Amino acid sequence: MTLNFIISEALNGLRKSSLHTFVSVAAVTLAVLFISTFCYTIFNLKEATDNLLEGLEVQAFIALSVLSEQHESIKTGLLALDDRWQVTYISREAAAQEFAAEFDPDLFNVLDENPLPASFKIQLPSAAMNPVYLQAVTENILALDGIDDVIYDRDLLEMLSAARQKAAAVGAVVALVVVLLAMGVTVNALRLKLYAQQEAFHMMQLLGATLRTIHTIIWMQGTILGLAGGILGTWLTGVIAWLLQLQLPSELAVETPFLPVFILIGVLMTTLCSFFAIRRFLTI
Amino acid sequence: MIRFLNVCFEHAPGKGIRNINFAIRRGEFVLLVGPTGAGKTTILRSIYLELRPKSGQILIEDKFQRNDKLTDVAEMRQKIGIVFPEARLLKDRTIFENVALPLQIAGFKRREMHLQVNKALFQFGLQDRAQSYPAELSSGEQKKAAIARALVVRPFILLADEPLANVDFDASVEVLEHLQRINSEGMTILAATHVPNPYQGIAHRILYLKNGSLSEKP
Repeated sequence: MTLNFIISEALNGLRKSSLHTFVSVAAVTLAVLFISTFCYTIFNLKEATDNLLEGLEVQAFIALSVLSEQHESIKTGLLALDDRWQVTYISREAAAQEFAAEFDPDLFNVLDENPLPASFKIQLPSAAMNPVYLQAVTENILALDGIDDVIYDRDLLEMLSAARQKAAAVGAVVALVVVLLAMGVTVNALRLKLYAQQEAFHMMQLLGATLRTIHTIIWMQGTILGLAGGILGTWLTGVIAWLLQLQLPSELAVETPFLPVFILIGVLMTTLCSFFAIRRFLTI
Repeated sequence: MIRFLNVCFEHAPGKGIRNINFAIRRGEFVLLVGPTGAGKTTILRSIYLELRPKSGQILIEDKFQRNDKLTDVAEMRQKIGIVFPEARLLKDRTIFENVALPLQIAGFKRREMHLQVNKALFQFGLQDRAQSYPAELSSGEQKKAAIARALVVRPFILLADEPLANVDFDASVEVLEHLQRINSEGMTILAATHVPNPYQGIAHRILYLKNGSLSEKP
């Protein structure tokens, strides 16, 4: 038995039953499109929430009674809590200027004294942003000498955290459904293709082809269909992402990293489905 | 060359073959005659190892046949030519492709394959039909193409199950002439039929099969 025979029969089978080949490639394309769209939706939602969380800052206010010479040691204390934090010092003057610029330039002409305290703006890594961690962080910062108060946008954080948890739970279920649906569509297409070639496979067997050879032909057909469907599905995903990007403002980027991975997913999925179809539907 | 020793096979209660004993020598043309359901096809299928006897032994070329090792079965089938009652040509392949299939399976090189297929088609007068599809051929031509496919790998025996089934009178005369020719060239033939008359003067020996049992007399 030669590899030439297996390859030529695999290609021959695809060419001869062109309608089934078309249906199978369409099914794999659809399956890859399902999976890639789902993956990128989840990925981009996560990126969007990460971006929102990156903008979330914790502000630690220094007590007015603390001398400015002591501010540096408080900063050292903050960094000792977590060296991933980016800590920016805001002096009382800078705070006043910022306030005046934002609200009322004449406010400090009326007041005798600047009532605003100095503070530290703390930028936390977005991965660490969750209500439990932030609560612990707040308590740790407040425990430092000289810190009067700690604030952050608790509502936004809680809303985003809850949304992420929901998305993860729903996403896991949807992912399972999408993969099962995609595999169901692919197996069904391969089943039809197998039935169309059943007579040819039986004849090959009677003429001396081993069952292993016939399985290899079917497996190879599945791989070729997976490759074609994978390429098409991936290309369509790219096109859809590009069209979507045209509709969105430029600040909202639709990201599609590792796009060629979906070609591989198409091939793997179809190969797996071929094995299943051979075991389940080949009756020679 | 082929020897059945007390072979039994039952595919339904009371249906099958019982204690079949016979031998076929090299170069013989043996006719297996019996009514429908007598067990002719069962005997042929046992030889090409599609059925495994319940008991008894089958010797092919002095080797006991066991169909539990699939690669051995495949190798043996490459050495046996089979003609079915219907031509069973693959509808979506040309006559050339159909006849070439056993050679492809056996791993023949492309050039050798072309040579052998063209030779086989020429022997059966089908050289002009090489690129036609089975549906474009008459039933007689289809049957000849099926015999060409069976013989292209130069098997040691040709098993023909009702080789004249579904062909008209003129075509059956032609098929018989071809069977006689290839037998005279040394090919061993075991043909199963329920109508023995057309084979008179061609077959060397007739085995009668009735209700799964064999006899040399009708």
